[in-house]
Amino acid sequence: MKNQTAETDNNQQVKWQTLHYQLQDLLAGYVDGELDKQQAAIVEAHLAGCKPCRDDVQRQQALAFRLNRLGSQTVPEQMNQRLDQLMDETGNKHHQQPSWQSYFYQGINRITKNLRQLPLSPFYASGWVIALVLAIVLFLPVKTHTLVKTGSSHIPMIDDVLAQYQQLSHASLPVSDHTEKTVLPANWPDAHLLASWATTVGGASARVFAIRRGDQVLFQFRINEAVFFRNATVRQAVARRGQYQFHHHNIMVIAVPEKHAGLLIVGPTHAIPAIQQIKHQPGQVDV
Amino acid sequence: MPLSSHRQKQFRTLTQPWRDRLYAIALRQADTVDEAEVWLQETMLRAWRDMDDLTDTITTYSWLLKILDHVIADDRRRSHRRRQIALVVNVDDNVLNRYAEAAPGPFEQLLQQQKDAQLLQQIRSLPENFRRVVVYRDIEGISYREIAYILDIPPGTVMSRLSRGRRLLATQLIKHAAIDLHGQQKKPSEQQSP
Ligand SMILES: [Zn+2]
Repeated sequence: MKNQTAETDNNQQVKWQTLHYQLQDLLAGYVDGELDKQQAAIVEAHLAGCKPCRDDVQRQQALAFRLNRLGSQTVPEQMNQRLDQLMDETGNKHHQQPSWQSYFYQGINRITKNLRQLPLSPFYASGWVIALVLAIVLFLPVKTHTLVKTGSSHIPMIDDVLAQYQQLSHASLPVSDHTEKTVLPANWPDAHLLASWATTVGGASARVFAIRRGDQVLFQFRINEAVFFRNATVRQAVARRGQYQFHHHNIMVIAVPEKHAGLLIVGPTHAIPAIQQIKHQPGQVDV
Repeated sequence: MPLSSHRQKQFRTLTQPWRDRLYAIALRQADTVDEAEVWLQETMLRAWRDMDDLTDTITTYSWLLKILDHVIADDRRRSHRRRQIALVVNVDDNVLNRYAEAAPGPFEQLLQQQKDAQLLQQIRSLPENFRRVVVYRDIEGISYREIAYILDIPPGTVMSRLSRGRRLLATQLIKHAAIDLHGQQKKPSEQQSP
């Protein structure tokens, strides 16, 4: 009999301890009046018999009260001016891009949400990258901004590069990691490498090369060979004509095979070089 | 173009009133003033870009705070400075009870004596998950519901993190005060785990 009582006592103790720990997570809510009636009743019943929890509640109240009275901070005047200037510049930049307002942007906004998690901001970039960003804004013809909707080729890699091209013509370029030694996968006489960075196409890692051609900007994507040949339409087109083409309004994507890799070039249709003009570089495959 | 300048004006009206508070929050989590400025600028750029996401169901302030929160998280991820993930669950009552400063009266006194800078220092040293809810709730006075929206967590999690965060902060303050008062050597009556 005595043993049984001890066991019951022990059980009660374990139950009480468990409740004591569980309720600790509700104490903030009790202090802030965020508990529903039932929760509040349970907490109050426990508090009546638990000094550590009562102390905790009182410490939380004191802490909340004290923290609420912490002095606030204001943005220093010069910092405010820098911010104003930045926002003016940003606003004016988009000012030259009527499509900022258009429903196109809202569509692309969703598609490229993940892309835009990339460090696109000029604040993480060095000075020359900021210069490049400005260069892009100047060189991209207004025509490319009157895009309508992301067209779908129903080929993931093509849709990917199209979306990236359209998105990046509206934003800053990512920070480039190209060096003097970076070789363009496909070269032609008036191609000038602006920047290069890593990306994802068709679910595989890829490399982008931003190129200026006259006053136009094009992107070359060097992609994984497996991704490149995944689609039957692309395979057939390449077998027949040596390349695959996709048109979307005044934007064009061409897909040409390389040794152990695939190449996608995207840009304004009239700026895409003819396939005979393209000189493939033997360069290393680093996708 | 008039559309764009209208948008600019609208953006300014919406965001200008919140600049100081956003800056204060950034500053409370940044290591330097420069870092806080970069975060603030990045927040405004993203807000401008995503202005269309702002709907009637969210307040401008919590929308901006959510952006700032992401900016800070992205920055930390990028610079591999993610702070330690907190494993602290419950502070042992027995440990706290050994300190005279843990009793409600003395604790309140302790808080009044603490300078703002000292308090902020302790808040900054809290593990990230706890620090954010403590800053948003106790310093900024944001509701549980809005904090849940900003951090993308259920309101119940806001409550438990806040309970733990406050308990942790109180413990840190008590231990520090005890050391300051009694000198480095004097420890509470028994050996305590760190
Ligand atoms: Zn208790």
